[in-house]
This record gives sequence, structure tokens and C-alpha cells, in this order.
Amino acid sequence: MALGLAFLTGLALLGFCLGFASFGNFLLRGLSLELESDTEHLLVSIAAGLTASEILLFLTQFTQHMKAGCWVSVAVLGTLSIVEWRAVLARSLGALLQTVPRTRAATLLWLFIGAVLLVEFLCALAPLTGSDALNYHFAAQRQILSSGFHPVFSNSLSFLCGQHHLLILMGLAFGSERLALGLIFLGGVLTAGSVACLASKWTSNVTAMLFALALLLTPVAFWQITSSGCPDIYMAFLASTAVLVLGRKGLVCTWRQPLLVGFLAGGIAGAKYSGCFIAGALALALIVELRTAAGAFLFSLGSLASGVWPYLRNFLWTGNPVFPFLSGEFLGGPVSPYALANIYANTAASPNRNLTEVLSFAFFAGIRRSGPGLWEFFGPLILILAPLMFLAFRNDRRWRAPLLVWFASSLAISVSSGLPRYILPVFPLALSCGAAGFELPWRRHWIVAKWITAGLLVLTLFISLGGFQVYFRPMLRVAVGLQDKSAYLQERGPEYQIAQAINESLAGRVNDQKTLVFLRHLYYLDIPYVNGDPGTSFELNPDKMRSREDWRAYFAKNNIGYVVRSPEYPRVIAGPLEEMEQTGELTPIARAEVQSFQGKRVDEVRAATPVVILKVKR
Amino acid sequence: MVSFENLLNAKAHPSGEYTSFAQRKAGPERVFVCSGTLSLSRDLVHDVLEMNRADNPPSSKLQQILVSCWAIASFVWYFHRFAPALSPLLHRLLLRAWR
Repeated sequence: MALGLAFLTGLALLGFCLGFASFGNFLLRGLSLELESDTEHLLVSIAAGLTASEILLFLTQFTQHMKAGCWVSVAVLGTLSIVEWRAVLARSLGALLQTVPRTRAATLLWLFIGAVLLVEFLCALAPLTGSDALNYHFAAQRQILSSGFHPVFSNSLSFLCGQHHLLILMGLAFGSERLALGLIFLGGVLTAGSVACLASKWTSNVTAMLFALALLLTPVAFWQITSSGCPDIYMAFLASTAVLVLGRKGLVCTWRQPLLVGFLAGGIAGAKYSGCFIAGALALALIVELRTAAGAFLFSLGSLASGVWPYLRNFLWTGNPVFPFLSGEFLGGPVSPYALANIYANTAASPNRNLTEVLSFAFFAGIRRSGPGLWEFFGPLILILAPLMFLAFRNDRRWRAPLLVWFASSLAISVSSGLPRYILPVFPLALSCGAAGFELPWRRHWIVAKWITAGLLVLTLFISLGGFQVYFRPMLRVAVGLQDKSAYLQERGPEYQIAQAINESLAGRVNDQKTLVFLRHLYYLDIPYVNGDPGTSFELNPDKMRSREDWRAYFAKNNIGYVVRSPEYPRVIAGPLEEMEQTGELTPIARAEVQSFQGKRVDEVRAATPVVILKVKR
Repeated sequence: MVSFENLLNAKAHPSGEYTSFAQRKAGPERVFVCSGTLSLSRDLVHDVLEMNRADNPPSSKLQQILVSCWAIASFVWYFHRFAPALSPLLHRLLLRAWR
């Protein structure tokens, strides 16, 4: 059953991929734009088609008919697939012929990559357990589908959802969490393909595929592709394809190239605020290469067309396009300083201030001051190959463009946020440059250097493979049906047992009344709820919730009928709520005791946690 | 010595195989002669000349030593830096292997 569903999901993903390729091919044909090889053309077509489809999906949200909008988008993709099938088929066959292995070693490498992809695909379909995904990547989309396209001020991070989140929305609109997760996995496959394509510009096919494998086994990447439930991997795909277009020779002085690069850059900027730095770096590279005002203008036009939508949404909702950032200082927006400080602490945690930190960050060796996490582990490959990359450097556009985008993006993100995983989108660019560095000792017949770098590459891949096999086992068990979904979630899902206890206690009791919860992981709640954690809600400003009267007014205004305490109320707002319990204004109606993670999930420490459901007395 | 025909064949190859093709065809001297009446794209000639230059550096022994030392040192430094994050994982791996 589980494998059958996985097979069907795989077919659906293939269909979406062909749909995006057809849409993109249609657009590129309209622009009379050809890329150098079939593989490049196919990848850029998919990137352009994906970005255009997301615009379509975004616009349908404003109609408040999300499900119908998703069906319309699928119909458009289907129609274009019929129109473009010959061209896409020819390109696909051409791409396959270009990458077909010609030696036994290459065949083995291909087979190994296929096996890794298969395992990652199955893992990606495991039930959602990613913490941020349960908080907002998936939870916000689920809320949009159930309550409509409105601002959700009780989930402060919902405003950070970008265009690629629409893929999740589409999957959930079709009633399939698997499809939503599979679409994220598809982003990983496409990114690995773009690494191979970029690297093959200056290395052999085997080396290019080896570095694509390195991407698939890098902990940050396989976490993003499989269980994170976060669509950021598409930023990496779009950054690579934008560089492919920018690196294309022979299109100088045409209007198509900057327009298309801008269009793809907009897809990156529209994904996440930090994507603006990458889009800015692409703009810089374009200006350096083309040196025309018209080029810069067309780039801006293309990027605005594809990436303005989440900014426009936030502007319409709050008056601040980059809400909630800059809210207190320059722009408006209904923010609570407490939640805002929390967001800054999580997203702009440790900007790097000195050169050593910035350099180690740019070479993917940056760590947070609070302590390194595996989700920030890019591996030492780029650092090892750094000098070789610069020795291999050739002063032409195909080299300058990826290097400039990589370094300018890393520098900007390093000094603004300092979170290593935010430079994932430029990791494929670094890997493709690393591939060139890796081949240099072989070309120069440097016997010692070539065996040392090859040995370290193999060692790094083995270490990554070790981490991967620890990571994927539980996911694989549930994905192939060896473990029940509910048992898996009870074991691995953060706060899943609490959410289930709430669902069971309140099933059938709530009508239109909402439940106030203080959970971070909201996705598995099946009841109408409001997040009450002042750290992640703009509706609850602790400075304005000091008395029972304030809470009574809040309950009445938001139609809250139930409150869940598990295990305790957040400290900054606990006082009046505990008083209300003592005075009988909050009456316990159900209790349960469940197991829940304590501290970081990776530590795997669980403890008994009480869940108390209280009814609000009117 | 590489003939024009071979250079043009190189164009027909996927660009990823460009280097290996040139190495195979050109041998250690790698002298590329561009003459005759066939038209050749400027990009292609530029690429071949760049490749020729990159493959024949004037001095490389010191570079090779430095590159090798850097590779080992950076590998060790990186894992030392990430040791706090990796040690629980390693512990779990060893535990699993033991069982």
C-alpha cells in the first residue's frame, strides 16, 4: 500500500516536472531563447515553468478559491504538456544521451546515485516531522486552505511564506501531504541535476556526477530534500539555472538574457527575504557581465514580474512589504515587540563581524555561536578544494558569474543574518566550482595532490553516507509500510502526542469556537485553533495582557472557547491565566498525560507531559 | 597538434568532456594551430587557448605541496569545529555497529 502510494506520487511528480518543462519551453520559445545543451535548456525550462506556475497559483489565492485555482494550474500545465510534448521529449532524450555513462565506473556511479535518490524519495514521503514545517511551512498552508487567504497574525512566521510554499499548498489542496513533500524532493533532484550541468562545463561527466552525489549526501541538503518540509531547496535550483543562463555566451546585447535571469532571480527573491541578497548578487553579476543600463532594467522587470507577489501580499495586509522585519523602525505593521524580538533572534541570530568568520561562512564552514547543528553541516569539501578552485579559475563569464553570485550572496547573508543554512541556495554554485578544482591536479599530473583530494572526497562522502544512513532508517521504515504512520509520529513527531490529545478531547465539542494553544507545532491540530504563544504570535503582546479583564476581552474578540495548558503557560503571560483557573473562569474539562520531547529533538530526550483542556466560562 | 576537424569535433562533444578530449588528442605538448579556411567560433578558440595555458603552468611543485597541506589541514579543522554536533551522531553509529 505504502509503496503503491509512493509509486503514484512518483508518477505525479514526473507529470508536474514535464508540465513545468512544457510551460518553460513555451516561454523560452516565445523569447526565441536557446541554451547551449539540451540538459541546460531542459533545466532552465523547468525553472521558468515552475516560477510561472507559482505566479499563477499565487494569483488564484486572491480569489479565495484555492482548490479550484490549483486545478486550473494543473489544467494549464496539462494543456501545455500536450502542446509542447514533442519539443520536451526531444530535449529530454538529448539530455539523457548527454549524460549516459560510457565506462563501467561511471555506470556504477550512476547506479549508486539512482539508489540514493530512491532512498531519499521514499524518506521524503515519510509523515511530516520537520519542526519549522509543523510550525508554519505546512501549518500556514493548511490554515489558508481551511480559513481562506487572510493574514494570520497569531502565527508570526506565516508572513515569511514565499512563492515556493504554493507547491505545498497545491499538494495539500489535492489532499495529499505526500505530494506536497514529493514536490520538495523534486526540487532536490533538479538541484542535483543543475550541479552536474554546471560542473560539466569544465569537468568530465563522471566528476560532475560525483559532485551531484556530494550534494545529495550533504546533511543540509538531504535534510532539506527529505524531512524538513521546507521548500528552500528550490532557491538553490533557481540560483543554479539563473547562473546557467547568465553564463551563456553569444547572447550579449540581447534583451532576452537579462529578462530571463531576472525572472529566475525573482523566483529566488520571492521565496524568502534572504533570497533578495541572492537576487541582488545575480543583478551584480549581470551588470558586471553585460554592462548595460538596459540589461539592468530588463533584469529588474523580470524579477519584479516573478518575485514581487509575497511582498505585495504583505504590503496589502500590513502596509509593510517585508513584514514583520523593519516594522518597529521604519515601516508599519501590527507587530508585538516580544514576537518580533523572537523572530530576530531566530533569523538574524549571529551576524558575522570579522573577516575570519565571514570567510569561513563563505566557504560553508560557518557555525552558529550558540553551537553547531547537523542541519548546518555542509561538509568540508568546498574548504578543501578552495585553493584548487582559484588555480583552476579562468577569466571568462562561465567562471566569473557563479563565483560572483556565490561570494556576494554569502557576504551579504553572513553580515546580515549569519545563519549558515541560508546560503544553501549558492551551495550548488560552490560545488560546481569545486568540481573544477578537484580535476585540476589530475590534469596537471600532481600525483600527491590528486590522491589526497580524491581520498578526502571519498572520506567526506563516506562520513556523509554514515550520517545519511542514521538519518534515513526510521523514515524509510514508515515510508515502505514497515511502521504505522501514527506510531512513527508518536515516536518522532515533536508535540504530536499533545496535538492528538487535544484533537481527541475536543473532537465534536467545538463548533465555531476556537481553542487557544501554546504549541509550536501546529500542523497536526484538526480543530479550529489560535496560537497563544507570545513568542510566535503578534496578537498576544504580553505588555497588553496583564489582567484577567484583558484576557476576557481577548477570548470574546477571538471567539475562544477552550484553552490548552501543556505543560505550563508561557511564563510572561502565566499570571492572569492561572488566576482565571483559580477563580473558575477557566475550568478543566479533560486531562491527559503524553510523552513529548524535552529540549532539542536530536537529543531524543522524552518526558511525561500533562495536557489540560480548560473551558472558558462566559 | 590538433587539427581543425578535431577542434570542430570537440565542439560537437558535450562541453563536460572538452578537457579530456583535448588531453587525449593533443598529448603533452598541446599545441593548437588555428589556420585554414574553416571558420571557428571565437569562444571555442578562447576556451582551447585557456585550457592549454591552464594545463601547462610554469611551476607547480610548491603549489602542489601547499594545496595538499591545505586540504588535510582544512579537513581536520572542519571536523574539529563540528565535533560537538557530530559526536552524538558518531556515538549512535558506533552503538548501532556494536549491537
